[in-house]
Amino acid sequence: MTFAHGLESTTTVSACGSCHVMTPFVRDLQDVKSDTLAATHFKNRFIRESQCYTCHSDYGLGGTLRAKFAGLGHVWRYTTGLYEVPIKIAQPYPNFRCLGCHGESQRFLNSATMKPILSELMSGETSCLTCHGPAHPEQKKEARR
Amino acid sequence: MTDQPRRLRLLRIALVLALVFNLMALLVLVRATPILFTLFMFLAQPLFAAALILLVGAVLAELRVRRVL
Repeated sequence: MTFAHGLESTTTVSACGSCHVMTPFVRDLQDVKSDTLAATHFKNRFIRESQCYTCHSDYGLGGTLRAKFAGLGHVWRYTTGLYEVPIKIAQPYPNFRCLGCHGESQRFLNSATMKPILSELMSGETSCLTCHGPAHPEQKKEARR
Repeated sequence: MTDQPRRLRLLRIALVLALVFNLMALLVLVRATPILFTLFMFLAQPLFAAALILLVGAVLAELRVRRVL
């Protein structure tokens, strides 16, 4: 029971925010005045729960496992202090995470703006964040470790 | 040291390990942070497994003494 509860609870925004290096990102996410991509998704309830986890894990069982192993690495680096500020995403953000929700949307598929670059978006050649960024605010270099 | 105190000591160790497991499980249930959950996964669960092994060992030893096995 604890295992299942822990597995689920560590996907929540509060769990991500429990490490202080994540505080600026979580604060921005929950700021209704912010226009970052994450805040827009949060305040408009595009994702109802576990917002950090939904966007930062791949779909399916493999995605969950990879996210949990990555989380283990985060815990290790956080407790040992083996990380650098500003915090940066480990790999370029993949489009298929956006397309998991938007990919089948008729509004997206029939959009006049999207249609010319649809194949590039689907293949990942052009990043969604090129036009829709920034996803999060820039973290200051002097941020406290 | 006689065999019976050794078995009792094993049981006591198993009890302490199970208590540590339960305490950490309770902490995760109350406040599931990634660090607590990692500790539960990689510390509490192996401790509980060790407690079970010790318990089974003590029970088997007792059964052998009583010539049931």
